[in-house]
Amino acid sequence: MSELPIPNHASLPDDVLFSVRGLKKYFPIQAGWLKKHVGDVKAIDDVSLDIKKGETLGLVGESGSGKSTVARLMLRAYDLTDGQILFRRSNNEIVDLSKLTDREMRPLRAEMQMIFQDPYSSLNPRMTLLELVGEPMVIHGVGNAGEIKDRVAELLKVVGLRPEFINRYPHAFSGGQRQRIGIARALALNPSFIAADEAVSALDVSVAAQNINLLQDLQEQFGLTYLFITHDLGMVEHIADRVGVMYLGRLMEVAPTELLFSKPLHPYTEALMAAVPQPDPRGNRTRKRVPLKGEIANAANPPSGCSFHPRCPYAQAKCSAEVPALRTVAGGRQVRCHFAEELSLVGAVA
Amino acid sequence: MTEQTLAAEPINAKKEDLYSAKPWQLIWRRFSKHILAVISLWFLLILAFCAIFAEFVAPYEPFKVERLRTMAPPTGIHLFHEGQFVGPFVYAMERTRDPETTRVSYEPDTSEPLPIRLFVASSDYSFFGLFKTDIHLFGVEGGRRDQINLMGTDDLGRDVFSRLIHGARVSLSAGLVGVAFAFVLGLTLGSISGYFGGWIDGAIQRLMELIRSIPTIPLWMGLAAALPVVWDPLIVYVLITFILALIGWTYLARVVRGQFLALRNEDYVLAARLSGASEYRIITKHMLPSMTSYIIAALTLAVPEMILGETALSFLGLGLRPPVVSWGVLLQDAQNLRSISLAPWLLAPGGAVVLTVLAFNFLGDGLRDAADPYGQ
Repeated sequence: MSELPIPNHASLPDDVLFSVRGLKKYFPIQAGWLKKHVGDVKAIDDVSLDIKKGETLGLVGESGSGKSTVARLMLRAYDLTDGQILFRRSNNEIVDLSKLTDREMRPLRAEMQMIFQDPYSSLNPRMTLLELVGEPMVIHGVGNAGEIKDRVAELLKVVGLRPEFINRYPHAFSGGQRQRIGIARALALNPSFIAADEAVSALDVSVAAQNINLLQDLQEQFGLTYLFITHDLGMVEHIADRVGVMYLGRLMEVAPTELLFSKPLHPYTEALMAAVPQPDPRGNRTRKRVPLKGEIANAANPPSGCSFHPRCPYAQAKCSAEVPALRTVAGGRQVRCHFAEELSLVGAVA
Repeated sequence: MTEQTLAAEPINAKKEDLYSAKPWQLIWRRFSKHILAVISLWFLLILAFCAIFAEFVAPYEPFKVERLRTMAPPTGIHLFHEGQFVGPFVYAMERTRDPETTRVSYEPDTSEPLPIRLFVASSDYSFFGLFKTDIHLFGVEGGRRDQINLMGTDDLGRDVFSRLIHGARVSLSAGLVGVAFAFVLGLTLGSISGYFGGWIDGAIQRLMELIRSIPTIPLWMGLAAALPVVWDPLIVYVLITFILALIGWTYLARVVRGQFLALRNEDYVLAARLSGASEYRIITKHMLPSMTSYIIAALTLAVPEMILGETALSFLGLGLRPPVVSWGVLLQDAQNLRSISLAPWLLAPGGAVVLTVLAFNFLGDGLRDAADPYGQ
C-alpha cells in the first residue's frame, strides 16, 4: 500500500513510454470588472499514470470527467498548471514535456499524435488529402514533394482508402472515411504514441467496429502505443490492455482490463458497469443494480474529501473528511478509495 | 475489411470533378445558382465599366452648359417615322416659352428623324491621359442643339445622364476606397482583438461600441465641417472616404474577430498545432484561407453603407462640392420643390443609388451563402 513512486529521468523503467505524475490543470474563475481571481475550476487534479510501450490504456468516465483534457495536456495542447510528464523519445532520451515551451515541443510532436472525435471539424475543408495527410511531413521538413506524395498514397492504402483519392477534398468522404484520413495523417511521421480522443464515438456501430479493427491492425503493424479515450465501456473492454476510470478530474482506479471488469475496487467503477445496457434481458434480472444518485459534481466547487462521496452508496464519515490518495493495492492495481479492501463490489463479468 | 473498401465503386469522372473541386469552384457553383446575385453581379460589372470609361460612355461632357436647352425632359426614343421603320432615332426639340408664365416647354419637331448612332464623334476628351479622341459610345448626328438626353437636362442645360455616369465614378470609387480604408483598420484591429483576447480585446471592443453608439450623421457633420472649404476637391474626397471608413471599420472588425474566435477553437487548427505547425503557418495556411470568403462577403455588404454615407454627406452639402460630380452632389439639385414638380428626372441619381445599393446587398448575400462550407 503505497503511492506511485515519482520517477526521474534516470529511474523511468525501460518499458514505460509515458509517465505522468501529479498532473493538474486549473482554469481560473474570474469575477467582476477587474477580473479578480475568485477560485479555480479543477479540470484535472492530481492525475498520475504510466503508459507502457505497445499497450493500449483506456480512459473512461462521464462527460466532464476530464478524460480528453488529460490527453491534451499530455500532448501539450494546453499549458498545465502543475505536474511532470516524462516521455521516452524514439532514441530512448527521456524528456519532461511539462518543462518545454511551445517552440521546444514542436520537434517532439512528430512522435506523438492525436485522432479527433469529430471527423468533420478536424480536417481543414480547404485542403486536399495530399495537403492534409502530407502536412506533418511538410512541417517537419521530411522529404521533397514527390516523396511526400508517394508516402501519402502509401498511407491512404494503409488505412484502406484508395490512393487515387489523393486530390479530393474532405467533403467527398463519409464520416468513417474521414476518420481514416485523420488516422493516416496521425501516422504520417511514424509516431510511437497516439491519443485517440473518442475516436469512433461519432460513427455508427459497424463503421466504428471497422475503424477499431483498423486501429488494432495498425498497432500490431507499427508497434503503436494508444491512449484510448471513450465513454463506451464495451469498446474499452474490447481494445484496452489496462483501463483508467476518471471522475471529476481525478483517476479513481487503474487496473488491467480483465480484473477491472471482473472485480472493480472502486464504487464508481461498479456504478459505471451497472449502467451498461445488457443485451440479454435474463441477465438484467439477476444483476445487482447500483443506482447512482445525483449528477457529476461541479468542478469549480468539488465536494470535500472524496469527490465521489455524495453519490457513493458505501460512503462513510471518513469519506467526506479525508481525500483518499491513489494508492497501489494488491495485484499492481491502483485505486483512490479508503475502503477498497473492505468492499466487495460486482463487475460486469461474473 | 481493408480489401473490401479498396474494391468498392469504380471512379466516376464527373463525380471525381466534384470531389476534387477546389473550394472556390464550389463557392462559384453555389453562387451561380443564386440568380438575383448573378444579375446583381452583372449589373455592377456594367456599372463599373460605365464608371471607368465615363468619358466614352457619356454622350456629352458633364459640365457643358447649354443655355437654350435648360430643364429639358428625357428625350423620347422612337423606332417608326411616319409609319415606317427606321431604327432608333429621336426628334429634335423645339423650345417655346409661355409668354405669360415665362415657363419653358419643349415640343418634338416631328418633321425629321435624327438617328442614334454608335461610336459617334463629338466633344474631345483625353483617354486616361494616354491619347486624345472624340469617339463616344452613342449620340445623334445633327446640329449643336440636336441632342439626346436620356435623363433630361438640369437648370443649366447639362445632360443628366452624362453627369450620372461621371458621378458613378466618384460615388462607386468612394465606396470602394472607403471600404479599403475600413478593411485595413478592421482587419488589423479585428485580428488583434480576436487573436490576443484578454484586456486588449476588451479595450478594442469598448472602443468599437463607443464609435457605434455615436449618431452617424452628426458625427459625419462634425468631421466634415472640420475640412477647410479651400482645400482641393481631391483631398476632400480622400478625407471624406476616410471619415466614412472611421465608422465603417467597426463592422468589419467584428466579422474578423468573430472568425478568429471561431477558428481558434476548430479541431483542425488544434490538429495543425499538434503536428508542430508554427503560429505563422496556422494563421496563414489554416485561419486566413477559411476567412477570406467571409471577409469578401462582408466587404461587399459594407460598400453600400459607404455609398449611402457619401451620398448623404454630399446631399447635405457637407461632403463633396461642385464642381466634383457625385450622386450626392447631383441630388442636391433636386433639393427644392420646384425641380421635383417640374423636373422629376433630376431624381435619377437617387434611383441609381437605390439600384446600386440593392445590387451590392444581393451580391453580398449571394457570396455569403455561397461561402458557407456547411450550406447546401
